Amino acid sequence: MTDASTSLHRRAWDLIPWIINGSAPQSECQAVEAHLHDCPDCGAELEFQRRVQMAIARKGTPDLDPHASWQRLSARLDAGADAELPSRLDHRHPSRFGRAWMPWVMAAMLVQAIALGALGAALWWRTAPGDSNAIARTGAYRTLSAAASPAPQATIRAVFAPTMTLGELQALLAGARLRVVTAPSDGDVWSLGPADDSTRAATDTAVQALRAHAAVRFAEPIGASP
Amino acid sequence: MSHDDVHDRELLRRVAARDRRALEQLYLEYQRRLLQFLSRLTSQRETLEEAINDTFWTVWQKADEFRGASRVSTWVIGIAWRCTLKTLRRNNDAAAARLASCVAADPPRMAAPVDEERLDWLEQGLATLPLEQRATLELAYFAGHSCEEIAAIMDCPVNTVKARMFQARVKLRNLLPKLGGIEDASHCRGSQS
Repeated sequence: MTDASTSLHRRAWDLIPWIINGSAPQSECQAVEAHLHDCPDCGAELEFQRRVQMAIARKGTPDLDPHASWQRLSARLDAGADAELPSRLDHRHPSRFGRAWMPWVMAAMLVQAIALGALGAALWWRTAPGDSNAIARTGAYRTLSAAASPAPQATIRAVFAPTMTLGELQALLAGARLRVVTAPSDGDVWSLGPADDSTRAATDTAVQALRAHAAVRFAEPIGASP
Repeated sequence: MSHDDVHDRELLRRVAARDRRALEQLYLEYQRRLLQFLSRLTSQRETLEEAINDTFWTVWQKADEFRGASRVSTWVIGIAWRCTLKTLRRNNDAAAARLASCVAADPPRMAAPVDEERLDWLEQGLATLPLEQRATLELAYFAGHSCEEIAAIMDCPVNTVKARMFQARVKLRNLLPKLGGIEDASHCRGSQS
């Protein structure tokens, strides 16, 4: 084979997919047309690639209701508005949602801290040492020295859709008999623990309940084998 | 500029102006098309919906950045390709896909197969290709995109597309030597320059 014919063979061979899908320039097609007709290798490759195209074309496409999918995206856009998704927050560019709500959140935290402080002071005063009537006033069922109810150990990790409301989350956790152990700080993973029953069977049941909810994107028992 | 692209550009202009109805129309017109392409890369329905919704979430955010350098369809499919790669990595779906590929890596070899069987073997062969090579073939043969458009979609140089196409063809030939009636790959001397 001469250099010229080798070069033409290469051009023709490289061009075959683009001839088949109709995107090769007309001038290129004309330049290699005779070679494709005469060269058995290129002729076989042309035929083979047509079969590849047929194999690709005949593969079915799954049905996915476009209107239902759009509704889910629409809800996501409503929830996020123009902000970025919580899982993709770029801390250099706080979202509009974050900027708008931050002062209110901080104000609420301040009010909560003041209220808790006042409550603690009142309770301390009512049970102060030397106050012999304290127990009688507060009732035998309540003492400051009693250990606070310990937070449950986290048994499940979960990620919720940003569209989930606080009410929905509370209802879901109550139904699954779960409590929040830690809420996400900089990510979107929640740690949950049992409200009462901490057996593995109860954890598995709770995981199933979480997974059955449309707004739960991920729910796995902690320490489960992969 | 094709009639379709004029129509798409008008929709995208409205999307950039925060017209949610235009986004819905674009979504409904493109969903099936994206599904056809992306379902070749993963069979997980949840992954498919997640990738398509991520795509249009990005379109909603970035519509005003479209400068018209390509067709709208090329731009949207490019976003879909990148969203799908991210979703696959996030869901660790690619590992599962590769595993499935290994299982199918040794297709049965029989004499004189009928045409349907040959196509079945080709489907199995396609499943063994690396994601980028398979996507290149799908974009060319299923969607009919040119080499330059695939480069724009996959955000890579045109020569990379040519190399991927070449490697995919050689790999398919080597995996399925009898399908084209050729016993070896010596015809592949039209190598990448």
